Amino acid sequence: MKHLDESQIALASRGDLSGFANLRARLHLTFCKTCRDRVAEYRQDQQRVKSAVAAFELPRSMKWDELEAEMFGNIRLGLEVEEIHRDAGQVSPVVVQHEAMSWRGLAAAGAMTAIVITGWFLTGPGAQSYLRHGPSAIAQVRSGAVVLRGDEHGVGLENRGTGLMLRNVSAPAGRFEVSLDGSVRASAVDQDSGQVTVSQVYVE
Amino acid sequence: MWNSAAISVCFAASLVAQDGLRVNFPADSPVSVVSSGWGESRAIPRGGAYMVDVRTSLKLKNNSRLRLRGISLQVSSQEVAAGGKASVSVPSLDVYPGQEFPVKIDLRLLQPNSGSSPSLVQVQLDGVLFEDMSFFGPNRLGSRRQLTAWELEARRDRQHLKLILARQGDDALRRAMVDILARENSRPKLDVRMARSAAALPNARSIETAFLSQPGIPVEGVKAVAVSAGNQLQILELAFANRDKREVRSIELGLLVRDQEGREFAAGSLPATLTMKPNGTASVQPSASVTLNRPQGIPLKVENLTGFVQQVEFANGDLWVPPGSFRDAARLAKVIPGSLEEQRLADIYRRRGVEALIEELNRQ
Repeated sequence: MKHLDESQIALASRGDLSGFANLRARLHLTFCKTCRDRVAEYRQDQQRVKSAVAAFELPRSMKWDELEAEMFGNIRLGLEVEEIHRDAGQVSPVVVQHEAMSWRGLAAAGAMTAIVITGWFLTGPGAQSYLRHGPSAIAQVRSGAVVLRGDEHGVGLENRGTGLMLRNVSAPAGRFEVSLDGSVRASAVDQDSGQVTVSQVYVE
Repeated sequence: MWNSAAISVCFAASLVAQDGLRVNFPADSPVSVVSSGWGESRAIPRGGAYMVDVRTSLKLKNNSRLRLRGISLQVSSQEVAAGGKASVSVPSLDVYPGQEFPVKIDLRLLQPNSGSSPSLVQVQLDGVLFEDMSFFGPNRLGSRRQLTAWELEARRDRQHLKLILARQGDDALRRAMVDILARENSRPKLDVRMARSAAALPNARSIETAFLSQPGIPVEGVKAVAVSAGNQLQILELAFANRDKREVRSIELGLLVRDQEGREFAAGSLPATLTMKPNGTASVQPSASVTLNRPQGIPLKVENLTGFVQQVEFANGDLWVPPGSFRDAARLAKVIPGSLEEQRLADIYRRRGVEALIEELNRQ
């Protein structure tokens, strides 16, 4: 008996075979355990893909709602600063800068943007790894095996390969403070609720 | 690949299925839990360990007859990160009696991939503060002092902005908020690494120390001894005198350091539990050394250390925070951040404009 080929199995697993090919495949699968198992494996893989996709979470920096709110906030703020400058009889330095920008400046800005975007995609969500020691640390407290850390992602504590981290409630990094009694604190404003949330880790 | 992806999904799923979140509030708590449970969760294999990201938004309810101003929750897990504690606090609230409100907890756990079951995360109430400054809760993390100080600062800063609005109008309020945002962005940042150790710094030299003059201050700094070696700083002794008629239970000192070029940076704070009778004195010997770096890891050579009192807690539960004018008078506004309420109000202004800010100021 000739087995179904890989493409037929893949299509059969999704019910995508049509007409006579579908009828022939169904008949074959009734009698052939090997091909039935292969179809079952394909279906399991499809299920895993669905679950993995469902579990995938966009990094905070890619939350469109937050990005949009951030962008509009900054535009609005820029306009207000300009208005204040105008009221005071000054020309906004921002406006001067725009008028003076040449095509070379625009090209340089475009190149910089491309570098930043490429850099983000190269480092990607993996760069959000918190429990990785690096130069980005803003605050750190060490007491024996316990290490407290605060960086742009939040505050956390580690002890011999285990750790707990409280991540910032909003994308822009909040404030950080080290307390010399052995604690690190971060505060950020949650964009959904408008609440200011303080996360703190302590050495016991 | 599928194997690890499947394990990740199963790991996160089992965390949810096993009800990996336990929220415990005292039976007589004036705040109750309306709903809890993990929202989104996922596990990522990282070497021989798993990083489990879990997000939850607790829905709580104010069952008291008073408006609630702040809440502090202790977050812990027995299986991970022993020797430490964590908390999530939300100050500057205005929750009416009977009203529900959310508290978000966005947590990442790192645990070894030893086939053990996912960690159980416990969330416990540490304290709530009400409009009349009354407090409820076990206060294991010192939430009473912290929530009270934040509320006093919030009232002070709201009052200051309301005065600007009443006396000088919308434009003056707008300018004040732009100034706050500009200061926030231009404040010099410092990488502070502290190690708890009583060992002396090698090749250390004494540095100049001082306390800022603060009018009407209940506790005065009278002595500070500090040494530095390169970018390392060690505070050997701090002594204080109580100028108030009330007994002092604790203080919090803000620290400023100055480098060789005269630039000033905020270097954190030093809370100290010390008992001082009226007109009495007390001293502390912090057993810690601090390494200070500017951004990009440039070492900061400390030439001078200045302290200022930013909180005094009295034995009767009263709390003192400096008046709002202190930061401006001492030219500290450029160096040390404002209150959490200032941060919240500045965010409202930045995102929603001066009208929304005025509405918020008039609401409370």
